[in-house]
Amino acid sequence: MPDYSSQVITRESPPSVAATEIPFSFRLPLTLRSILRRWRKVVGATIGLSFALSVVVAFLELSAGGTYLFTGEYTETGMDVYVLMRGGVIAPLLPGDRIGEIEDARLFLSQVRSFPEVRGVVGTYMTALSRERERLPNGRQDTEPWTAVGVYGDPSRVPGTLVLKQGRWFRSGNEIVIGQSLASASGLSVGETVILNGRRFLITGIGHIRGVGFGSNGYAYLDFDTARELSRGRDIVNLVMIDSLDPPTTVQRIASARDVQIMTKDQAIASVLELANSRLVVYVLFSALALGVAGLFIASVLGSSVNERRTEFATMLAIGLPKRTILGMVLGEGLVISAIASLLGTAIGIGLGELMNVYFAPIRANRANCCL
Amino acid sequence: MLEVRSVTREYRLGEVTVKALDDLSLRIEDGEFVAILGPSGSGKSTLLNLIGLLDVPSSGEVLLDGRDVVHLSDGERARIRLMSIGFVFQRFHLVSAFSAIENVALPLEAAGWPAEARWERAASLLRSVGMADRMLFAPARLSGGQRQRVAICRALANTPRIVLADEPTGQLHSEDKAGIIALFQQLNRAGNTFVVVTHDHEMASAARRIVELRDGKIIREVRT
Repeated sequence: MPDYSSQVITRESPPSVAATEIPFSFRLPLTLRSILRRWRKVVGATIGLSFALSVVVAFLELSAGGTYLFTGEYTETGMDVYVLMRGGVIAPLLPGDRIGEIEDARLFLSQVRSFPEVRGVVGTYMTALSRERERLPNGRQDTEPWTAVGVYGDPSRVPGTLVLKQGRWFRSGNEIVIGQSLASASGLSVGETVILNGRRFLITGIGHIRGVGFGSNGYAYLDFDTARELSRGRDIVNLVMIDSLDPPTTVQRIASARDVQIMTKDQAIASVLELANSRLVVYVLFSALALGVAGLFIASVLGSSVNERRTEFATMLAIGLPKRTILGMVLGEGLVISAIASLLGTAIGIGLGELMNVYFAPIRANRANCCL
Repeated sequence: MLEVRSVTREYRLGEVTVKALDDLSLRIEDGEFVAILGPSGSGKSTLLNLIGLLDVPSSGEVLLDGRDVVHLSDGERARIRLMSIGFVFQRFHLVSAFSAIENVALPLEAAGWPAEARWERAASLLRSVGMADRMLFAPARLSGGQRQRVAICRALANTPRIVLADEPTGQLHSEDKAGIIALFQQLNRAGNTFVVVTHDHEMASAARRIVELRDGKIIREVRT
């Protein structure tokens, strides 16, 4: 049996010992020490919550990039007025959306060009062309469909309308400019030739025109008349973009001449924003979901922490620790987890969102070096 | 001096009312070593909870130095528990995340002692029970007997008027049990007051007074 008689504790005079070196953690407040000692659980909870928050922040970042992806095409260009068929959608995105066709295109485009306040007019005619690749061993020609845009007018004359990554804009019916994603998907570069509907074209540039739709990086751009000729199309134009010194007058003149849908730049941006909002709803829903999951996560972490430590807290209450001290330990732990997770989650989310924007919304990243 | 006067404690279990203590009176003087014996359900733990201000009686009085402590606020009762009553539990109930010395220092910290003073006090207590070389150990690394010694040190940290122990040897091997019984006796000889609820006759025989309960009443009192 151990004998403690030589060192037993008396109520009046507890034996004194020289304080040995006191560990740093012993000096910390109870809440901090408790967190420090339970660091594995705290780190686990922090990582979990950071992840959920980073998803939210990444979605918000992505939604900002997504909105720019939709509106940037219209905010960056110098075009002031857009004309399309009544009932048409300026940037078809959803199933059933159509931009529509304006008949007697040549006449209409000439009329608009003759308005004194108009500085530049670009008309686009969208069609599908067949690109011939190599001849197969069985003698048949391998082809792939390309979306081609016949362009009336010179987009390089309107600031911010033409985005050229390489080369120059086409100058004749035998030249073509292809979009950046089309070039990389097809492995084509400036100086090479392509055959479209049996006709050979020299690629003079890689780039796109702003305002012709969300897939503008994947289109081929060629002369308006050549495109119509290749597709045996009628005298139509899908979209007319106008650079005007006096947009209200231009709108008024067009309205009196034709039964068409006319949009100012702001109206065009508002219209595409409406489309963007359909995606924003998805982002907001995902963000709300992720926030909900984050909330449940922290509640569950704190709940299980309290459950696990129920006996511990009951003991503390029994030995006389005030309730506020115990409450402070639980809330302090939640606060530390939330604070670190918020910082970490926001940083990761912004980084992740920016990274995704570079991939999904390249026009945002291209702002600095884009425009002629 | 601690006294319970004509206390009754009733619990409602559905439609049935159970009387855990029935008009019980008991007076414990400073420096006593009282063992409370009795079969399961006799009211031992209920009595300990009332003495320890963890529960209130359905009727009757609990007096500490002549002062009624039944009608005090939760905060005041917690303060009395912290400063005047020490608890030792059957399952030790040490805070698993804290070292032995941090567990002992916990009541001192709640009482507002500065770090150096509580380190010195907790270290002295642990040294006095032969735990000098285990001060920084987590409870999981200690044996049952060692954990109970830490728990006893925690109970004594604020030099309480009375130490209440609920089956303090219930989870211990015979060697550890003998050590804890000896420690209780030595601490009592040094002036500490103990009230121990136990089934263990070895523990009870170490006490200087044995109170036996049955059906919520004291049926026998023996001074050894």
